[in-house]
Amino acid sequence: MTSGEHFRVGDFVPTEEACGRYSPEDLVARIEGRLDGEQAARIDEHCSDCLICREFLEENALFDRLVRADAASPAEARLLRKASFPTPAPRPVRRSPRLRWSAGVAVALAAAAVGLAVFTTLRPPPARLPAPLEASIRAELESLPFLPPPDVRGSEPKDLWASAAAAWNSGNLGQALGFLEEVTAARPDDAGAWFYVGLCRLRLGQASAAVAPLRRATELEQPFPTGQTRWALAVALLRAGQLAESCDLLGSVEDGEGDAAERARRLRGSVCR
Amino acid sequence: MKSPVVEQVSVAAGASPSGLEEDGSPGPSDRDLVARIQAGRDVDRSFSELYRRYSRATYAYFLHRLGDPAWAEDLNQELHLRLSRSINDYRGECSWKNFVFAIAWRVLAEARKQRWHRVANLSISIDEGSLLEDLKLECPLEDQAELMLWRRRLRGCMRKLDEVARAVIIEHYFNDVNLTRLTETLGLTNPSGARATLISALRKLRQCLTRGKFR
Repeated sequence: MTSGEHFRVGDFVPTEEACGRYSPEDLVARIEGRLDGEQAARIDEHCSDCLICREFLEENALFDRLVRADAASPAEARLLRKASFPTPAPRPVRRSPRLRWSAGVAVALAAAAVGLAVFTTLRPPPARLPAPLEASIRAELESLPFLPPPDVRGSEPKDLWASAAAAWNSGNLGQALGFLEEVTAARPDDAGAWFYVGLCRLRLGQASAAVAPLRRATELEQPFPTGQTRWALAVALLRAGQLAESCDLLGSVEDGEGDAAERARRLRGSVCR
Repeated sequence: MKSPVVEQVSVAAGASPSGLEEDGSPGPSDRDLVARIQAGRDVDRSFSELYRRYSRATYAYFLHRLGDPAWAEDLNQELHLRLSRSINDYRGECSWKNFVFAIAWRVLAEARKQRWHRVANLSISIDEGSLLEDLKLECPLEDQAELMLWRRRLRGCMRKLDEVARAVIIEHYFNDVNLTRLTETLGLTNPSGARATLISALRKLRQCLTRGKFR
């Protein structure tokens, strides 16, 4: 990048209601198909170039999905869950004798499901995941890059991070783990350091020991833990034999988008169904 | 030429142009409820029903754009207050859902303007701080056309960030505010404070710049 690339702060912040050419009402008319062909074509052409109008259209589409949340895409459903806005209480259902019988069956099934879940949780770790699956997980773990958090420049654990990065990049994961554990000792609220401690242990074949640091990383990333951290925790849980929790976690990751969601979908499809 | 965005939106609108009222759900349509309020019949109940149908989605929308639950709640209240005041302006030309959205859009723009007006004209140099370095992107140095495209994309991607994430990036990289201070001033309550926000914002920016999408 050449020097002197200047921006106005205002360029980065959408503060405009409209672009000056089309109002929100014009755009709504276009969305609802209330314009004739020529007017619609003019707006379409304008929108391909106008950031503000394009944002309006994209956000209207998002709002549309949010309103239809009952049947929304997983991403919007997740957003609504995050919003955790109080929803009205469900309507009371009058029970018929048949429903009462069904309720009895449901209770029995729920008890069986709980029993199964307990069995699944308590049973000993699986001897080994199928070789192709294990190989693909290993490749995915190895593909995750080592990216120290951006704010370490000039701060105390800078050298530790740099040493960890050097060890990691030269393939000496045991040594990298040592440095990263020192970072977590110096900065116990550093989600990134906990994540890489967990990842290191996973790659070193210490799945059970990877669970705690990865859990800590997801806690620190609240309220929005990344898909990548949750996916890594799910892998650790899976390898540690905690299938039920791993599958729940993978289910929440696959609701999202991106690489982690893709990986979660593949893994869940292989081990949870 | 029809832009992909318009095409996508048109398809959604075509499926059910007026939102909830045509989705087969029981009860009166949005338009019926608004008409009742305008006619002064069953006003409280109709208002409550419209609020029930939309307040969750509007709150989620604000939360998505702002990244701050308290601020989102304030704007949501402001929006529904404004809707109750302007309900007589609704002539039924568009769906109630899109009427709500247009007002939400304005409320959001006004709030941002108010928050940023003091620094909106401040000029920042993109290569002053370490943003580019932390984004770990290969930026074209000589090709002016590429550079222009990249700059435009960065502008679009920064606008897509939520308010808190954008504030953390701008303040941290261009105003030298440290992360502890930002955690305090933005009232962030998560254990990692602004650091978590910064990391997440950089991830989103990187994804947006390289793949054109978030998450």
